[in-house]
Amino acid sequence: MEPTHPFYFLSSCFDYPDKDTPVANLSDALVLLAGDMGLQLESDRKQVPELETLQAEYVRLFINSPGGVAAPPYASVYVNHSGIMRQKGYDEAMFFYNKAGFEPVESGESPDHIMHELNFLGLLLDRDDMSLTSDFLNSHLCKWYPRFEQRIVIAEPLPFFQILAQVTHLCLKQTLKEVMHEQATFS
Amino acid sequence: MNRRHFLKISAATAAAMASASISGTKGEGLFRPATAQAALAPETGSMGAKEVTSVCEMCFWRCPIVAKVKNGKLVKIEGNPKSPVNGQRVCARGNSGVQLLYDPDRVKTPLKRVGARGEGKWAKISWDEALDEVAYNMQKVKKKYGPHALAYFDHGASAEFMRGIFKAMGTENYTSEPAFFQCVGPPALAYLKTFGYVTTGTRQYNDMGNAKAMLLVASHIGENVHVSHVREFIEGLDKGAKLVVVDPRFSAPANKADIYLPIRPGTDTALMLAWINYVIKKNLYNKDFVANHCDGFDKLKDEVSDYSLEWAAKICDLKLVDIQEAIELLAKAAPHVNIHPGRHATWYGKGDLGRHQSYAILTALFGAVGVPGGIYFPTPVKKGHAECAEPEDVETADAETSMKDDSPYPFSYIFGTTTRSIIKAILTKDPYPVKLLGVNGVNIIQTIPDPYTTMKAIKELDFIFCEEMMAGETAIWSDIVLPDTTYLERYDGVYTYEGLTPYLTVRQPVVDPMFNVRSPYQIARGLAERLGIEGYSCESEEELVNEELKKADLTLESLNKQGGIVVYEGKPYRDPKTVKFSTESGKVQLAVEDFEDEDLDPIPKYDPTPAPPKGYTRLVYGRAPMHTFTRTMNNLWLHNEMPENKLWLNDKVAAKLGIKNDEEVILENQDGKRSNPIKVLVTPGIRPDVVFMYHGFGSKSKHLTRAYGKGAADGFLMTNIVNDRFIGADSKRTNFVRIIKNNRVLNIPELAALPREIPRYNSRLA
Ligand code: SF4
Repeated sequence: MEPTHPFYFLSSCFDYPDKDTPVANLSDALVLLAGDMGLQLESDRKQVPELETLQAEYVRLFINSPGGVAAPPYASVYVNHSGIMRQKGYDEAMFFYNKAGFEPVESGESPDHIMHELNFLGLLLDRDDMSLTSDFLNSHLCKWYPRFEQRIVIAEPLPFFQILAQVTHLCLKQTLKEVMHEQATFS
Repeated sequence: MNRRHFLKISAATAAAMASASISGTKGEGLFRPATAQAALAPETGSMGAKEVTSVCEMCFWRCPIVAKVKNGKLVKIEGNPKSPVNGQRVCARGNSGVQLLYDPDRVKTPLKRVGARGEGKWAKISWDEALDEVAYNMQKVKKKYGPHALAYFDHGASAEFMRGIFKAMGTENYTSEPAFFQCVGPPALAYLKTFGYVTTGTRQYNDMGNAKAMLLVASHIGENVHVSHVREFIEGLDKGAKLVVVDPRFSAPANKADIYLPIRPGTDTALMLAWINYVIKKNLYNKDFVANHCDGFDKLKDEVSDYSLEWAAKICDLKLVDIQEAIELLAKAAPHVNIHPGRHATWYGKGDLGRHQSYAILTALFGAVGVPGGIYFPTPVKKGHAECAEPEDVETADAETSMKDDSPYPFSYIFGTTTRSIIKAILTKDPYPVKLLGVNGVNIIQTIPDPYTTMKAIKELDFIFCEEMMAGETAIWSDIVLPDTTYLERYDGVYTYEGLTPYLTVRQPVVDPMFNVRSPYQIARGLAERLGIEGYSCESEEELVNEELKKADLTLESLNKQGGIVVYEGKPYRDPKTVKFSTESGKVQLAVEDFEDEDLDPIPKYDPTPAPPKGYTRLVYGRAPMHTFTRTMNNLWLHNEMPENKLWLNDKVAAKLGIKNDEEVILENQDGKRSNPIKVLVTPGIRPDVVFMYHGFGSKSKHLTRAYGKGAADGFLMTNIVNDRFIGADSKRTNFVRIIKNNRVLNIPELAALPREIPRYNSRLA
C-alpha cells in the first residue's frame, strides 16, 4: 500500500545500519524525500556512503564516541536537561505509548529512542488518532527533537545523518502543522 | 479506510522507500498492544517506591544499600537500615549510582574497533560476533604462543567469572590486579607475615572506634572515604581518642589531630624506627605480650638501636619535642592504641613493605592486637561455594620460566603475576611473549603508572579486549569492548563482612539491565561454551547465589524476607593470655624469617629515598571523597561536586614563583613529560618540598564527555618507577615536577634544607 507518511522509514533510518540494511536504497529514498520536503541538496551530499563508514558514524553520533556520545538519541536526555536516561522524557514517552494502548517491544534500546518515537508517531497517524498525535507532538516529540537535531548538527555528521536530521525536522514540522490545522508553531 | 496524507510524498519517493523494503515493516516491530496498565501520570520523588536491597559498588567497600524503584526506574539509593556498618547512610558516590546506571555515555552494545588502537572508532556488533571474536583470538594466541601468552588485568566484583576462563585456558597469568599491586600489596604482606593473617587488604580489621589514641601515617581518611571506616574513625575521636597524624600535607584528618607532624616525604620509616627504638629503650612496650607472644624481640632491639629521636628529627625535618610527645601519647594509650595499617602503600618502591612492617611492629610492641582499639581478628561468616559458576578441570600449564613463580619479587606469587612483569613481557618477550590481554574493571592507562609504556605495550599485542561499563581509556585501546551491567543490574554472589559486626548480604539487580549489556557471569558462560570449557553450569545467577547461600541455611527468598542482610555476633577480641597467631610458631614475628630466607631484611631498615633534583619538587597524590579513583570522573553528580583537581602548592614557594591562587599551570616531570593544565591551590597546608593533587582527573579519553581534559592526571607524570623488592609493586611518589606558567619553566626553590644523609635524585634533565 502507498505510504501516507514517512515515519516508519525515518524510524528505520535512525536504526543501526547492519549488513542487511540496503544502504543505497535507504540513501536514495532519503534524498528523494528531502526533495519532496523542499530541501535543496548539493550533489556531493547525495553520495551513497559505504556501510562501514555509516556504521562508525552511527556509533560516534548515537552510541559512544570521542568527545562523548555526540547526540544521545533519547528523549530523557533533553526534556528537562537532566542529561541522563530514564527521567522525565522517558516517562512522557511511556505515558503516550500506554495511552495509545501500546507497549514497546524489548529491543535492547530504551523506549524513548528516536527510532521508537518516530515509529509510534507512524502508528498514531495510521490510526488517525488526531487528538493523541497532536498531544504527542506538541507536548513531547517536537519539544525535544530540535535539541537533539542541534547536537547532531554540531557534531558535523556525514551527509546521510545531516540530511536525515533535517528531513525529520521538516516532516515533523509539516505533520504538526497539518494536525494542528496550522494553529501551532514548531518550537 | 480513508487514509489521510499528511505530507506530500511523491510516487518516486514512495517507490524508493518501498524498495528500501523497510517502510512499514521493520519499524512496526517496535511496539505491541499493551498487556499491562502502566501508571498514566508520571510520578516524581521516591515516596511509595518499591525497595530492593543490594550492595553498593561505587567503590570496593561494598556498603549494604536499599534501592528505591518506581515504575521500573531507580529513583534513589540509601544505606540498608539493617546494616550494622552504614545504616541508612551512603557516601556521595553511593548516592550517585543512579547517575552511573542512567549515564548516556555508558557502553551500550558490544563494539568492535574499526580505527587504530587508542582512536576510539567502533562498529556495533552482536553478542555472538563479539564472543566469537574473543574466543577465536584466545584460541589463536594460545595455539601460536602457548597458554601463558594470555594475561588478565582485573579488579572488582565483576572480574571473577572471566578469571575462571583465563585459568581454564591454562595461563598462569589469570590474575594481575593492578589495583592490588599499586595499592594494598605491601601492607597485606607485611601484616600477613607479622601476624599470620591479612589484617589489611580489601578489608581492614582495625578498631578505630574503640581506640584511646590513633596514629595515621599519611592515611587521609575522610578524603579517602569508606562509610564504616570514617564512622569508626569519628566514633573514636568522639569518645576522646587522641590523634597523631604524620603527613607532608595538612589533610582532612590532620585538621583533627592533637599532634600533626608535617614530615619530609620519604622519611616515614626513619620516624617509625626511631619510635620503635624509643619504646624499647624507655620500656614503654607491653612486656607480657612481647614475652609470651612475640618472636625476634632481641634481634629487633639490636637492629633499631641506632635510630634515635634526635636523628629522626633531623632526617624527617620535625621538631624533637613533637615526635617525643607523640610517641609518649601513643604509648600512654596502649594497648588500646590504633597504629593504622595504611591502605594505599606503594609510594617509594623499595621501602614500602618495611614501612608497613614498622607499623605492625609498633602495634605488637604495644600489645594492641585482639584488644579494643587495636587491630583485631576477623570473625568468619559461613558462606558456600558455587562450583556451578566455575570451570571444571582447571590446570595451569607448566612454564619453562614461570613469570609468577620465578618472579624477581619472591612474594608476588601469593597475589598473582605482577603488573610490571606482564607489561615487560609484552614488550620484551621475556620470559615469554604475552600477546593477548583481557581487562576488566581497570583503567589500565591511568591506574598503572607510566602510561606511555603501557600504551606502547598495548600496540604490541595481537589482541586486547575488555569488559567495561563506561567507554573509558581501556575501551578506546581495546579491539573488542564487551558492555558490562552495572552493579545495579546484576547479581554478583554473596558478600560477607568479617569485621566487628559481621554480616552476610547479597548483591541483586534492582532494575532490568539497560541497553544491550550482559552480566559478567553470562559473558564468561558464553565464552566457556565457545572455548569448549566445561563448567559454568549454573543457568542463572539466582541459582549461583542460592548455591552460595545454602551453607548459611538461607535462600535468596528467605534472605530478602529478612531485609537482605543477616547480622552475626562478632568475636574480634582475644584473651591476651591465650591468644594464638597463625604464623608457624603461633607467635607474632617481629623479625620475619621468611624475608631473611629470600635475602630480604627481616626487620625494616631506613633506606633513604632520593630527594627531588634541584629545581624540582616531589609529586604526591591522594583520593578525593567524592570520587573513586578514575572510575567516577564522568559521573554527573560527582562531577558537579568536584569537576577538576587542583595542584596544592606551598604558599611561600608560590610567592617566590609569583603564582597566585587559581592560576593555571602545566607540570613537567624529570623526564620532560607534561601534564594537562591544572589550577593551583596556594596553601600553607603543604610542605615546600612537595606538591599534591587528587587522583582520578585529567582523562585523556574524549569519550568521557564531562571528564575529558578536566584537571591533570598524576599517572601521566610518573615515568620513574621503582619496584618494591618483595612483591614488585610500582612506586608512585618517586617522580618530580617543575612548573610551567605562560610557557616559562619555573624552577622550584628549595626552602627546606636537605640533610647530607639523603641523596638527591639524579635526573637526566636536571
Ligand atoms: S563507601 Fe560509598 S561508594 Fe563505597 S561502597 Fe560505601 S556507599 Fe558505596
